[in-house]
Amino acid sequence: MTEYILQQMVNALAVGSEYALLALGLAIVYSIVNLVNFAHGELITVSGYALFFSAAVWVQNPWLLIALAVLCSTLAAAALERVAFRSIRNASLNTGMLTAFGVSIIIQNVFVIFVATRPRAVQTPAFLAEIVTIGGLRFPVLQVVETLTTAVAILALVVLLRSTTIGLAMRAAARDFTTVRLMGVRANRVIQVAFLISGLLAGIAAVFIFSRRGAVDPFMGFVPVLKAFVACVIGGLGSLPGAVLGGLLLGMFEVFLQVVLPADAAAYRDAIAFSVVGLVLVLYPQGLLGKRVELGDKEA
Amino acid sequence: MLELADIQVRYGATQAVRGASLTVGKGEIVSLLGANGAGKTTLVSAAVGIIPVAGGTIRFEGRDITRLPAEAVVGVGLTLCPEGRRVFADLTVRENLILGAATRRDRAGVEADIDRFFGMFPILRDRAGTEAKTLSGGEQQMLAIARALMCRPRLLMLDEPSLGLAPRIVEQIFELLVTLKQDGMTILLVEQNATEALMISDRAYVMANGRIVHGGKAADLIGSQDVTDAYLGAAAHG
Amino acid sequence: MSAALARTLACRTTLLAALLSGTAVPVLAQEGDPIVIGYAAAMTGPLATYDSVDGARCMIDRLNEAGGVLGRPLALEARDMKSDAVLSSVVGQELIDMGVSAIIAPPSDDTAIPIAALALPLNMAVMTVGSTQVQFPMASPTNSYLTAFGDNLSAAASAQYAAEQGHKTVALMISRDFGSYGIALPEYWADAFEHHGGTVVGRVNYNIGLSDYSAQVAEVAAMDPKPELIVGGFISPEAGVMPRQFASAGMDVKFFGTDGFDDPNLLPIAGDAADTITFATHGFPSEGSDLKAFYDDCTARGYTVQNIFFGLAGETVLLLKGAIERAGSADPAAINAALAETENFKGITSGSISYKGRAGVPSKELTIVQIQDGAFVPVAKFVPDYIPAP
Repeated sequence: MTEYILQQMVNALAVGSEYALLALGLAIVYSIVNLVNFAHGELITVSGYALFFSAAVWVQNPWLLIALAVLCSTLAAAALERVAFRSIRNASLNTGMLTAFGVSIIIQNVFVIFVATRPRAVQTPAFLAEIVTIGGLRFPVLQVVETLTTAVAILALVVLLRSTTIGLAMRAAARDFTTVRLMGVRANRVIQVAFLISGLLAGIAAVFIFSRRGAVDPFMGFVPVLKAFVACVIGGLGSLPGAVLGGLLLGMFEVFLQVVLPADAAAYRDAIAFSVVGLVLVLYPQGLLGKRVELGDKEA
Repeated sequence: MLELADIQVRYGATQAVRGASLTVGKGEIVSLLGANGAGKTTLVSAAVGIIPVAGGTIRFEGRDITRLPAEAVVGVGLTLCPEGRRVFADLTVRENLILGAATRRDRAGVEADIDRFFGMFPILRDRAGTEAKTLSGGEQQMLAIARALMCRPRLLMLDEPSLGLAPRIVEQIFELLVTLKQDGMTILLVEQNATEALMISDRAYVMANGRIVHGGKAADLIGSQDVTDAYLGAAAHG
Repeated sequence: MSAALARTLACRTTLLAALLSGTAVPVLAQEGDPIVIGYAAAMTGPLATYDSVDGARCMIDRLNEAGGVLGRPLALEARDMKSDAVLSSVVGQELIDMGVSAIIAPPSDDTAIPIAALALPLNMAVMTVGSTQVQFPMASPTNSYLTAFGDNLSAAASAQYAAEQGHKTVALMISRDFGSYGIALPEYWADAFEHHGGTVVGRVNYNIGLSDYSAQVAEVAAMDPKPELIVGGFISPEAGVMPRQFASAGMDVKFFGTDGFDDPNLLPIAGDAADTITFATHGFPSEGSDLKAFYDDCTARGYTVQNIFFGLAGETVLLLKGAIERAGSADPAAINAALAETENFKGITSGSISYKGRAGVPSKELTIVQIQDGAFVPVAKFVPDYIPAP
């Protein structure tokens, strides 16, 4: 029985880590550009199709596969910024969201038209499908690696944001973009880096998603971005630690419900999860780590 | 050093600056005075490139910088310490200063400058690792000025540095500006606090309703009726 | 007024009346006008694997080459409903408004029932290619037809085969995300399996989406006794993902199911785990069969045969053709009446299809297919002894 509990705890951590990665990618763009990038899910789909095409040319080396997936999503993110979002940079939040939805639909249909409507198998690193034995207990390599990778990614991001000039600029720009420009830092550069980071994080998440799923289809990006968005909202939209916390909590709670709910009620898992999310928001309208904005506060 | 010629700035349909011209010579402290809403902040924001100009030219050290964006203007030696201080609230004091030096490549020089400012403002050294939002108004103003100086500008514009500060702190700040001038800095000071500003300035301009309505030696303008009129709106409209 | 003026007036009035009424009176179909079949197809989305516009088109090409129906060519109006139930209604209404003679609906009950409801006032026949959910014809028995057998039939055959192979224990996986196939099929299977002496060890719920089933795998692994089999109404890609994830976790289980597994695309997804799968399906293109002949002919015409649903779609069109001929007209209500009387019709996947007295659920043979060494191999063909009630 304890093995089961332990196994489910590892599952919870792994799913939570995945949601945290997804949420972080979404949050970093939102915090700086005030844009909820609903096309974030499509970055994962892009990685998936990259892995699909790699199968066609027989790329077997797992590291090459990983590099390919991450590279494609990062480049896609940079392209999105340049082509779709730069021109609407100073527009309202609603314009941004609608543009992102539009971009999302375009990308999905490009895949439908030019690649395939049905799910296609993708090539993923073989070592991620194995089991590892730690302390007499068997764990899927994928989950262990996923949790560790998320931790490393978050750490790397923290280092970037604290120790590099561009990182400082990004943190400052989240509150006051204009003054950052007064420091001589180019606005374009800051935003590009934000998108590149979000693409990188999406690519890393994609490797794990596809190692589990083994298949890509044009519309699969919707669920990841929805989870990411909910996680961000729980943690406080615009807060990076909030995104991580929201992702971990959401993922762990979902697994918890899966374990705890009896089979009859199990179908209500999502309903229960979202009801709890609603409750959290009633108590913390700005999210768990979001700043309570009082009327009259002067925001920089 | 800085020449603004017939600057026009529009906010949508409203004309905020209607043909303003001023000059700042090397080594001077020049004040730009006027009531709230006269267009002073708009004018200096346009000068540094945050707001686009609809007409007129800006020349800095002889070079036309009218179309340059703010990031590039800072690179040529002109910078602004903005209204309301605008320190980076979530960054530490130290990080604020480092970001101020974003355009510089010489790490050793940047560290040396940070030390120098800590020497000038000991309170900043004490709070070097704390978030800027925990500083008092006066401390934030010192930080903002130090941050603006980190990029080693040749002309520093300050927008209402005395706003919301206690008189004693205001005095300290103005003393600081004089010290900077003595060290060779050129300063354009935007102020509502006319008397104090005039006392440290060489020359001054008065702005009302988007236009420069007076200009001259600071000594002449102290206590002048024209200045009072401009503030109370008795100056010509339109 | 003069006679000439009166004539001119009469002429112009008649012309005007004709013009005005021309919009109200439908133009009668002329000889040679195509008979149009509407197809609200799942061209994209999770249900896309179980629909086949190409299959329908190929059959129509063949029929038109042989002279069409009632001396008129057949035409297909296909629209993508993106596997979405709401869009399905929109598309269905669009096709009805276009004046089609019959409609082919998407392959699940929640997407097909709305179209049947919209077509009912016109008494228009609504057939599905890939749907196996008896809930669909039950919802609208006078105008709904499955081309495929019902889930209760296929589940019964699959369960009977499993029991005959000596398996004793099963865990059911249930999902409410895509209609009755995910909910009812596992229960039909369990019903039949228990009838043949098997035991259901547990039920596990899953949601499709991010495809992380580690929690479900752990739940099954913790069951006591451990189940030998896993049964669920899996559709693509879960049909490949589930075996893959269970195998990844080192679990030794076999997968049983029905036609959700019938798609070659799932082989690379499942990888080595594919060899654990056995399922009941609509047919198998063995040498010499009508199905193979159909596949070969369509391939020669340039179509790509994706899976069994290509054949089923052709069979749907063939059934409609039979009904149109017996009805002697392209009127939707007449076609519907004729379709309901179908008896011993020779299809492509099955040699004898009957709808008469069966309220839209056909009687058909089933084939059991097993995946061995990465290839689909037919292992049995029969009609099950015990069929659970829907």
